[in-house]
Amino acid sequence: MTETALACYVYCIAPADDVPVLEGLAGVDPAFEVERLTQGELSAVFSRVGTEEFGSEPLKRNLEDLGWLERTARAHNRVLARALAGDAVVPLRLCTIFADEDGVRDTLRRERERLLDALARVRGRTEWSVKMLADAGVLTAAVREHSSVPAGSAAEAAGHAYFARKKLERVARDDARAMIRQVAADTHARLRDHAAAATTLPPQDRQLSGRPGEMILNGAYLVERSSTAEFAAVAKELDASHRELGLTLELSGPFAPYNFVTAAAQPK
Amino acid sequence: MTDRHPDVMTEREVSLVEILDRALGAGIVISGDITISLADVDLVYLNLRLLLSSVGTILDGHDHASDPEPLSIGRRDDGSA
Repeated sequence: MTETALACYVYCIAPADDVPVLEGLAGVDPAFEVERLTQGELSAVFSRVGTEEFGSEPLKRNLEDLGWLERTARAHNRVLARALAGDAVVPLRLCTIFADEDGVRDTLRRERERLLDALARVRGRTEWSVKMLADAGVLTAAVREHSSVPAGSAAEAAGHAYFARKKLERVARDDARAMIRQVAADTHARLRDHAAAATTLPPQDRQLSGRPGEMILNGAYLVERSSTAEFAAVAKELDASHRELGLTLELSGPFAPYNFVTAAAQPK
Repeated sequence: MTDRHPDVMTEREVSLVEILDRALGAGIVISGDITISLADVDLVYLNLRLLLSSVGTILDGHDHASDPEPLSIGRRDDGSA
């Protein structure tokens, strides 16, 4: 029956004395449930995977298959979401795979310091995403309304009306650009004040995110569990106060602290 | 932005790109026997864009106005968080 070779797919690392209950949860290979393995103070949350699907070569092919990628990424995310029930969890990049349990144990031994350090950093905290999206039309109109360029100037001379209008539109657009950069920076600073750490990520590709409007802020915030409600309230308030400018805030989470497990991701 | 309590948001559909940006673009990188390289990550995104531009007409046919939630790429998975 077990003709297929198996490997160990590791999702995350948790403290050995605080591993969340993950029994009965299917792994990225649905034939196998999530297990844990302990080495010293560290536990690895993993599941078995068939190498005919997760081996080096098949994996490369499978990553190009959108259906496979989505299934795998969602299964990975589901395990992390459940693991978040624990106090501290360090997420690993998708598809971190070891030949066997000994390989996992060796790594827990070898990376012990780095992993303990990461666990300490995220203990009692989860990651939240706040995105700010701009409706360019509404924003330009709002800026034009408040613009220092008098609206009447466009009608001054009939011959120049077209160019004047074009100029006005350009000024409004440039003003709008400068303004949303400032608004995004202010919004991020405000949210950062309510987070243990914060970072900005590149805006998501509009085509990939499927969102209308331009993403002007893609912030990630490491928030104390006890401050979650407060953080959400600040985000909600910021959302309400920017609506008339055509700017909306979108809060999502909690996520495993993907963006805060390395020392480099601590710009605060 | 939702009015629901933050804890409830885990039940919301998380878009695939949201998951990939974190699970592929971040997280601690430990070299396993098999580990996705940065080049692999770039390739995944490149493929996503190629695939999406080819299904763009399907997505464009979707009524965005009636769907304020982020549009998921591909199938929906109710068990996800």
